[in-house]
Amino acid sequence: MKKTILIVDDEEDIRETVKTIMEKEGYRVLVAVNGDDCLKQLKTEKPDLILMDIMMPGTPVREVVKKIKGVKIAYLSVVRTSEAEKEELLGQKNVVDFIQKPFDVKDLAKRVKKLVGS
Amino acid sequence: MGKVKKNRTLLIIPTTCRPAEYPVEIVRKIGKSNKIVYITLSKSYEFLSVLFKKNNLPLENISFIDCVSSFIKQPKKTARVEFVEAPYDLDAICESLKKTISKDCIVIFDSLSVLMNYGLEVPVGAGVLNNFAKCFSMVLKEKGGKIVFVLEKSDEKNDLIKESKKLFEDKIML
Repeated sequence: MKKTILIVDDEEDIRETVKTIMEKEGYRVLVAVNGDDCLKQLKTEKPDLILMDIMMPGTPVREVVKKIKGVKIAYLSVVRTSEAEKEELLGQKNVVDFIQKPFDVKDLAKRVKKLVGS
Repeated sequence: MGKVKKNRTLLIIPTTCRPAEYPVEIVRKIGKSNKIVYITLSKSYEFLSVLFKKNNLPLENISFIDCVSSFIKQPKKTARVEFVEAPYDLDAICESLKKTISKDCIVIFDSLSVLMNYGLEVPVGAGVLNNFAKCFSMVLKEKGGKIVFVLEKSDEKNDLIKESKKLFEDKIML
């Protein structure tokens, strides 16, 4: 059975790009346009990994993440943070990776594979 | 940096350095001894502090308006830092800026390119940038301050820039 990835990003270009990459890698892909949409989808879906933009309009991601139970989350971040802040973010429950944008396509695929398998 | 001295509102376009490096270059060019207000829309205050320290830029001359940290964590009250809830909240940025502008300071707005990512909150055609500039222009003028807006070269032809063209008195390619 295919593993499922939920992509959460307010930028359509990024959503589509990551969706294409993930589908090419053989994953089933779901998309959400912001944190609230993500929470709504989690009522009926249980993805293996959420790839979530860290800065989106609407409910701040730090609040959204608190409400997510039992699903791995990897941040996609255009935001530049200090190493200490990065450690702090990775210390949040369920958060397993911090991927800096712009990302390398091969690196993204490799990191996702490492987190959920193929 | 003569153009900064001559003009109140400028565009600065980094062409030779990466986004994580240009803050250092801009602060260096503006002059380490000038008072600077750094408005950051995509780099946390902590990231910039570490970066500036590493490059021997004196932090005591720099105040920050950090529009990032509140999104990712509960920021702690910090001297010389105003935290704004979201990078697209130009009203809140303006209010923080009015409180922070000091005599002869130079404000760095980093960046218009990041602001453009929030198209729904910062729509083209509504004069958003002009209204933002109007909001603090009196205070900036009274204090003899200047503002430089950072823009990535690839965004020069963006409609938000086109509609605000008159706002910028000159531009600097860095």
